[in-house]
Amino acid sequence: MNLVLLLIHGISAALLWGAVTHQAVALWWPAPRGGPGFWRSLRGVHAERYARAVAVLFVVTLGLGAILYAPFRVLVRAAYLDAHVPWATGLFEIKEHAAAIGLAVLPAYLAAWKEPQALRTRRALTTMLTLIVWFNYLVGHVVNDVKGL
Amino acid sequence: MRGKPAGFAATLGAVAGYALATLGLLPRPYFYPHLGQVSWTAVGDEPAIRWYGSIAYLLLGGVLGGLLGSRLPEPALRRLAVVVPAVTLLVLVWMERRWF
Repeated sequence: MNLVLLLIHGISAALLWGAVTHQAVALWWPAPRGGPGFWRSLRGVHAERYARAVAVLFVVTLGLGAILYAPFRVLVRAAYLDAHVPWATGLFEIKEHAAAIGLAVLPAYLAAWKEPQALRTRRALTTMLTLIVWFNYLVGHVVNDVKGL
Repeated sequence: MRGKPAGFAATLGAVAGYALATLGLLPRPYFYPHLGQVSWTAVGDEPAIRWYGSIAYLLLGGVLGGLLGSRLPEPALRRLAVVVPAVTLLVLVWMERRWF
């Protein structure tokens, strides 16, 4: 059961990672829609349409991670990481804080994407969320490679 | 809770709830996954999770922030909704330096 949940958690995280990165690229480096080429098409999306999907995927990914945290705490962290690889525990603790702050930021992020005047806030919050998602995605993989469930 | 200011205020309330709980300024329960128990006190060396309690305070703070904080001026709320989470995260990262 843990393995199935871990796989769904990973898939959800990958979707979130792709969506928020795509949105951040379109926000910082926009291009006219309908132009030729892969990169122009990637930059020319409706970035605002990603906001709700990013928020839902963030909550789903965090929720699955919270369920998996209980077996991880006993079978991985207490049984191995704390004693043998403390830096991995530290990275995971930071991942927890980053996920919580990301969850807290979601209401402001959604509000900023509805507010036409809030371009700077939108850029700041989308960038923060993108950095959090990238960090957590990479740390999740590293810690799972050190000692998985 | 309505309008965009409520969203910015909810973020501030949520960050405050999480930070206060994680910094030990609010009582957080211990969840013992091995025993399947919740307690307000530490049980020996049994592995415990306190993050769930912090998340509960985060959600509570978000709701309270959204309800009460939307009366503040929106430009100030917008700025605070960016600065406060970023600074809080840096402080929380600094607190974990003992692991490295």
